Amino acid sequence: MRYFINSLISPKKFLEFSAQILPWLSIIFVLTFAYGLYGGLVLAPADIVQGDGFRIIYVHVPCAFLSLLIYAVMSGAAFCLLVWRLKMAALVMRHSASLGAGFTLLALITGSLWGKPMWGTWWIWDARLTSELILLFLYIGILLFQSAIAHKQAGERAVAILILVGSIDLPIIHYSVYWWNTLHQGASLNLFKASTIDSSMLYPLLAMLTAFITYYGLLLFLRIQHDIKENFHG
Amino acid sequence: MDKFQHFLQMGGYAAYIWTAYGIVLMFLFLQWLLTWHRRNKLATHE
Repeated sequence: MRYFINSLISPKKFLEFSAQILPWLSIIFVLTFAYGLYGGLVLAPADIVQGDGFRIIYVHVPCAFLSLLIYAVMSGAAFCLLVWRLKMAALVMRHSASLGAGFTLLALITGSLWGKPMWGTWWIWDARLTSELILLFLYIGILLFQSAIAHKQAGERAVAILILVGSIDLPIIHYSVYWWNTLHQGASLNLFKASTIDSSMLYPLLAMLTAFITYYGLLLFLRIQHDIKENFHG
Repeated sequence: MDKFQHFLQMGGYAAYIWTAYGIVLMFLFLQWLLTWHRRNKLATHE
């Protein structure tokens, strides 16, 4: 655990740690993604109400989850940058933003593709969809801001403040289905209660979630490694 | 063959499901490709 925390502080230690963990992340990703795809498309039975249309859940939910998780990681990194001025935190912020924006866009697109046959509409201005769209705008704003400031230290602190201010959107997105009367269904998974989904449908979903989280970790580590070698070495 | 056609049709939702999966898989692949390409470029310069 101490080795992991040390690796987050020092670029040199991060290179050593990431070189060890990347092969394992690759294996975990391939196995969970393969099972998740097969389980979601073949093994899981058709839903009694939505038929085979529900199978979009196996890409939509992981994308939506990643859109929130990545922003939460960026918020944590922003806090570390402002309080402890960690170089690694700036790298996490910089290399997570484009992935977060991509997954948010995918969540909206796959959500539309699911909504059209089920709700009869590609889009509706309900709380969950609208707050997720705001998240996409936040990511785009962060990306534009990052490209405008390049590597200046003061600019990175400004981006960190922007990220932290925008993090208010995360609980709004998560709780929107409880606070307002929304068309979007409630949470598919719950940490503190038994899931309402049958296990034949649940396990592939958990596998896809694991695969997507591992994929984010994989790409983040690879990009930070590349950045360190390009800019910090020598 | 029937089973495979039934699988492809996805109960009439084929267009929505395969488009969703296709876009997501393409994104995952392109992001990985971009990352791999940048690393290779750096390795070549070294």
